Amino acid sequence: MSFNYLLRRTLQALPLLFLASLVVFLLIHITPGDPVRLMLGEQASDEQVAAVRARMGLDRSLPEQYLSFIGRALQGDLGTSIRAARPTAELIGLALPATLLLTAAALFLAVVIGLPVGILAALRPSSLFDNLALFLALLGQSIPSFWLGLTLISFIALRWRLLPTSGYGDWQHLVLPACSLAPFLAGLIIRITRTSFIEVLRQDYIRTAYAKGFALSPVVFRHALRNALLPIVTILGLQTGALLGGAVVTETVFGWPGVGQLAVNALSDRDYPVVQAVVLVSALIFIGINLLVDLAYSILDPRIRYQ
Amino acid sequence: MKKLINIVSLMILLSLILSLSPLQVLAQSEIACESDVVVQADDWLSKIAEKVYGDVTAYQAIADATNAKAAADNSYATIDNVNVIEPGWKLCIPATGEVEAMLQQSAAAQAASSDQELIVAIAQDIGALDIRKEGSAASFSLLRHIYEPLVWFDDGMQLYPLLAESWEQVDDTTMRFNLRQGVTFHNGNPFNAEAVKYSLDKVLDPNFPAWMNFALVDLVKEAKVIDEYTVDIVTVAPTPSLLWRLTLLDMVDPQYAETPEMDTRPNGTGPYKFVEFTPSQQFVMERNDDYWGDKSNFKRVTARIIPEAGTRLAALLAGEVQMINAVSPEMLAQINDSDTATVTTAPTARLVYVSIRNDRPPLDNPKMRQALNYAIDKQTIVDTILQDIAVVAKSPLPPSLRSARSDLAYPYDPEKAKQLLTEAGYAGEEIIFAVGAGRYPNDDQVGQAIAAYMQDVGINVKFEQGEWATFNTENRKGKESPFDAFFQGWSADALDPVLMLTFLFKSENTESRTSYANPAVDELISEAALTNDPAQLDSLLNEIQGIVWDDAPFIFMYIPKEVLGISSNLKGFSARPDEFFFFNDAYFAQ
Repeated sequence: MSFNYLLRRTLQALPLLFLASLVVFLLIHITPGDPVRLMLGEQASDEQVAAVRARMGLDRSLPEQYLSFIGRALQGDLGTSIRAARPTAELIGLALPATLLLTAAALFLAVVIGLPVGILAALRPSSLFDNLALFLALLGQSIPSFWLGLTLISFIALRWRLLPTSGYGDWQHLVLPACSLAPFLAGLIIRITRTSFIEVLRQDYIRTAYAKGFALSPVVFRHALRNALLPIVTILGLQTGALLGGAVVTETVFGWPGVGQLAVNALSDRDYPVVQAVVLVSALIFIGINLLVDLAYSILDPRIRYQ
Repeated sequence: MKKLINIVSLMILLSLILSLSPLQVLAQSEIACESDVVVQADDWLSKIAEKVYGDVTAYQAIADATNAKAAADNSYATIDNVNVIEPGWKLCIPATGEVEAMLQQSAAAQAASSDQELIVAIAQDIGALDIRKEGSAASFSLLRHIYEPLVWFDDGMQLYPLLAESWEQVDDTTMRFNLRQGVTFHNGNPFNAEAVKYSLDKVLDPNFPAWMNFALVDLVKEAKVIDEYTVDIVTVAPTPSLLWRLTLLDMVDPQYAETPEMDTRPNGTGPYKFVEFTPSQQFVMERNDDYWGDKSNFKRVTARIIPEAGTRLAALLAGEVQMINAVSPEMLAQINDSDTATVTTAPTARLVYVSIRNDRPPLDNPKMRQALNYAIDKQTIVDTILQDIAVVAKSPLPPSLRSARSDLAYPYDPEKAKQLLTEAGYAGEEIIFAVGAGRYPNDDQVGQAIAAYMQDVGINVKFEQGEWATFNTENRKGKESPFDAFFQGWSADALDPVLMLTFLFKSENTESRTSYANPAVDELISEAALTNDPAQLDSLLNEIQGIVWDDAPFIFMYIPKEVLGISSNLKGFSARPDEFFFFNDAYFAQ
């Protein structure tokens, strides 16, 4: 991957970021609901609400507010939360590690379970194992994570007291949320892996290898895997990007202080700076992940070259 | 391999069986009642305790004995909350010897709690750590352990002196406060009259987002420093409300409050000191061993933030936390079934109602609005949808407010409603009724029930449901509100009836809700705001409530209860009508 290519990709990302931030800015400012009125309560006088809004610069025109936001963002200042009176960067800085941890744990579980099962299913198509694997994959993708989370808490944490019900602390707090988030991903991975692998195994070069007398040896297997991984990596990249935006439902159920919770609370509070900052950061992360996926492509498939 | 699978399956089976077997309940020791007492009107537990034992603090012993007896014999009352007893309840009065034993036990338990930590779970995240900016009940409650006002309400809503030791009325509009001496903020700075003046001035400043500004700005003119520990607070006119309003004003350190740390590291005079706060995670405070007053029992209090109701409940039942707030009706059954948890409740100072646009025909006719009140079966809604976490409203004023009446009623009477509709000449005009869901427990279901009751008596109602913030903003447009009727509530902050009546029913303030205007009511409210004579105040408030009830600018629905889930061994703690919680007297029974 050449430096020129990286530079071009980065520059291409900028208009994307602008667009994302502009759309979100407009949407949240158009939605009825005033953060200051929400903060001060019903009884606050209109004079006080107006005065506080003026002090926070919320009475300026929308273009003025947007340009001010972008201007400061380019200098690294992501604004101050209206409700918490702290820099949004600080709030995101606290929430992001939690989300990263949960995402990594869920992905790890999903890959460790999904990949082998998907491959084995592909190697024995239409067998009992294959059908079972497909059934489990469907189950994983269909079970609502909300229900799964509460059920896990109800049995494992409450009835059997094996793990804590909620919160963020040591590895024990991570188990249930990760197990609640992983099934959907695992199901997806099983299905994509299986399909992708079956496709690859049907390719001419594999059949030629068989014809030449190679059984599914480790060498052939490695080649097949490399090719099969391409679509899997794509999907994983997209899912990771989505997860890093915060698995809101799981975070809410388990009281996991991640970016998803931060964003949802900020939306209810109409805390504009926080929402805008979260969107910007999430978009950046997503773009970064896409770049990593492309990098993985070029490693997996030597035919792919980026100019 | 097969053997391993067998062993594993056996283990799983075993653990399933074990988890399903019921826990043994330890038998309660028998309590003998020396006598029984039936509660009379105007009784409260400590009054009875004083009469029987000559000791005010023995009330807990009476409550415990009565609850123990009630488990076997339900002619005895069950006391959820030592501050809430009703006339007609039967109490068990244990023998004096037993009481002494109980008091000694509780004193020992309190001492034992002094090394312990209390962990609670709250539903909503805390925003800024500046108590003047944080209006949500849970956040305010926690910060009230760190900050203190001049005067406050105890758990029974009786006013008591805090940072002000005493006060006297110097003239019609001036109240002189004698401050407690030798009190310091946690950072060592002194508390004095300057701090009081600064704290008040800041809250009165309209540019500063203090949510309690509304309660003081029209009432208080200024504070005057007389000497280091004496301050005069001057009001705009004579008023009965000053002390109530002052319960919302916390004392802050003038130097510290101007620094940015004020939002992130609280610094007050209270019985607890701030330790740390991680947004969306937890808030931790520890006992202030240099506190000027009675030191709290718990060494440390941690508030965890758990937004999901089911998870919060699980944490309580698993013993991970010892108190939870925001208990919904669906959670009550599981808490009551549990051996380790229970609830404490109190009727709040909040009225939930449906505001009606009094300026829009046909709703401008009082008979129409009265018809709406008769059309709805509020008791059934409270019993079924709300499962008793509310009581039907018997006045525009919630019961914990001074002079609140309890004799007003709109019983469910669909025939009468239809009759009134006919008399009002209702011709089938469409009434748009909206609920901004998510604000009150089961408000969506209550709203749907109300719409159905309206339809039953022949009202052409269009029901709309949406998100609270959005719909509320729309409704606040007042005359241009897209809704003819809107489901909402009002909290009587500082328990001040004059404040509540002024905001809800004085014509200059009603536009955003109802545009209700009754000049007689306006005049009476103005009079009440200027009356320092308690008897006259009572009589005026009485009259206002009667008129407003008949005019029916609202559909008066219900008074929610504050419901807190607590561990069964948490004592010295109960739910409060002002919806705050306070752990100062709490301890674990052994």
